[in-house]
Amino acid sequence: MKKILSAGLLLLFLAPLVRADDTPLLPPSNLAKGWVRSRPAKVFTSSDLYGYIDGGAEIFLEYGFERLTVQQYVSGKTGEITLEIYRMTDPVAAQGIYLMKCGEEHRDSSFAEIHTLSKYQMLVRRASFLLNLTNRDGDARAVPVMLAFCRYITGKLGPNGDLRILDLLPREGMVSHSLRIFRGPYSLQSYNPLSDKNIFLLNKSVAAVGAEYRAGPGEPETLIRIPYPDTLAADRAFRYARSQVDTSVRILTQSDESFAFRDYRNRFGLLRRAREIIEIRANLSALPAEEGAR
Amino acid sequence: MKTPKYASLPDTTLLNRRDFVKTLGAGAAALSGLMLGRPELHAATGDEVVTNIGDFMKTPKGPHALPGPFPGKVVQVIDPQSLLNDAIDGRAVRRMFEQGVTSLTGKNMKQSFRMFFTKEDVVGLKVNPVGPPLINTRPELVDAAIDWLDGNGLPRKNIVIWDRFDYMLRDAGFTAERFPGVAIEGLQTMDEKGNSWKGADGRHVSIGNFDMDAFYYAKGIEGKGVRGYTDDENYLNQHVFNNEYSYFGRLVTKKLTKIVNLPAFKNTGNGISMATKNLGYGSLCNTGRLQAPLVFRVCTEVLAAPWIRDKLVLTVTDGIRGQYDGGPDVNAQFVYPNHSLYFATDPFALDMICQQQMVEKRKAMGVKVNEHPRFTDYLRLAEKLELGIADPAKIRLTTLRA
Repeated sequence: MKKILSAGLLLLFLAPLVRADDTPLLPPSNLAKGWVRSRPAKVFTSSDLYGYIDGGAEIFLEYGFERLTVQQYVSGKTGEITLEIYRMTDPVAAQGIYLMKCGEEHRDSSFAEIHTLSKYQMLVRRASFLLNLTNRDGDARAVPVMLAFCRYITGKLGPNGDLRILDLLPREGMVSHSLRIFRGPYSLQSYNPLSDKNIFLLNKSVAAVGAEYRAGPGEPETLIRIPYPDTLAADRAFRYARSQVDTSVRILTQSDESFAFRDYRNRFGLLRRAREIIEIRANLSALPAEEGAR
Repeated sequence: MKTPKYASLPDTTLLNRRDFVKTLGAGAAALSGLMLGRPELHAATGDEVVTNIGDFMKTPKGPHALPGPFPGKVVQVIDPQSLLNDAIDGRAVRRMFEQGVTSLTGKNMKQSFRMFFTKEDVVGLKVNPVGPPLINTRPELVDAAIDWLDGNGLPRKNIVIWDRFDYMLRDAGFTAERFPGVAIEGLQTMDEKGNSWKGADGRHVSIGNFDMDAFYYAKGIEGKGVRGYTDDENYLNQHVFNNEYSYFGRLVTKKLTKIVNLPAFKNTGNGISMATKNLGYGSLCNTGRLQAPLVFRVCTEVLAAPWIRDKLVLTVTDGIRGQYDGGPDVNAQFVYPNHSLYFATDPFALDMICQQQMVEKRKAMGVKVNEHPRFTDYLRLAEKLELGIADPAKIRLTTLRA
């Protein structure tokens, strides 16, 4: 009896350490009539993702990636859909990747999940998962099949998860399709004029949100906000960022909690720390009046 | 909806919603006292990686060395017929190919052939097979190139369609059935899962395909512990070696006498993955270690190696379709009809033109673009090394419309 109890306790302890297996999520052959699995599923972990998507792996690793399950489906001689199920570390990671890859969304009114759909590709975000389906030849007849696959999978997934970080940004004036979540320098590349390095110390626990805002003619301005676990962490990141700006950036004014800068395009910006949040405004045509007067 | 439980953002330091909207496009500050010169280009730092580019530059140039007979000259041929209702028209592509070659050289196709080739040449057509059928090098373009060579007396058996990975060529339709009489060759194989990449001696079965005397060396940059690879075995499966040396394929160093570069038209972040990257990362092994520290610099330095520099006679970038975001892997929502082929003997001038067009496309599609010089510094390096022209003011672009 003792041995059975011990074994049971051991199993309970080890259970979380056993890798989750996402192959049960895969639609079976003939879920959509005539579409069958063409070969065994392939699984890639964070350790070998480069073996599958090579140049595209870095962004997934930066956001927080756990596992990719790939299954190919064929129908007749020409129909081919490749289904990729990306298990990310958390909903923020999955949504971050989704926002990077979705572009301007085109939604199917019959499918309620966060998604974008074309005859060649479908991208879906649910919970910590990103689904990517590629319809190789772009045959429109395969679109309902992609939808059916996604309904099957999302029906097995949990709730969408906590994305309150997105509430840090105002919606008014936001340029559509510009909203992003960042977890490192690669994802920040287009939004951050200060450096191509991880100067804000982003990681799996610290993500940033950003978007563009337009209030009139001219280039939109950029707003990024980064919530840190506490004031100390934010202050550490502030000081590090200030010391690591790119050589093409000139710091114009600074204080213990902020600095104004001019970037390589002679556009202006302002970085401020308030308690546990760092805020960066960039691509300004001029500094706010109170900064210019310092 | 519940109120989020973040600490409120103090109005005195960070802007609340109403104030933020008000300050968008606010009036100019008192800036007249500031000097507004252009900042320096991204300057080299003292800790730059040491490579063997110096050895390459010491090697005397051959008669066909980069930038070729037309430095700084780029021809773009645009024909909407090339892609109609998502179908490629091979005849239109063939017409475009002829227009582009003759416009670039100023001679007819026969004379153009003689400018670059002899009938004894072994010509490698370097394709990009990634992302079929949307964003890979189109077989129809390869057909046009082969017909030009074949039609001028170069035996088909002397033509090699090649890429780094054999299975990628197959997946993209570059097969003996599709291209009869033409050689199809990958520099290496890779086993996605399993051990078939290992020979009886425990080493990669493709080791013999690489030339131990021809390499790109990067001091201190090894293929060990590189993020994204489980362990040495996993890395070696994909990259064959994991030391400080990336060896060129023997196909490139020993077999080919000329190279025609046929890259795709796509972005990679705020840069591009086109002419120089197609060869920079496609001609040699052990490249995973180079991505993070050297990324674009490889595209110039590898092309400075004599096995590329002296053999690369022509680049035709396949811009029939383009992909403006999400590259270098295929992302269908960003693929668009571009209806263009681009021609040059100078791959650096070609990439600069394509970079500019890609930036404009990204902006037009609402993608936020970072135009920092770091994304094109490698092209300016090429100009400094006299391998090509990167200064847009010195590049001559001719645009032909069908």
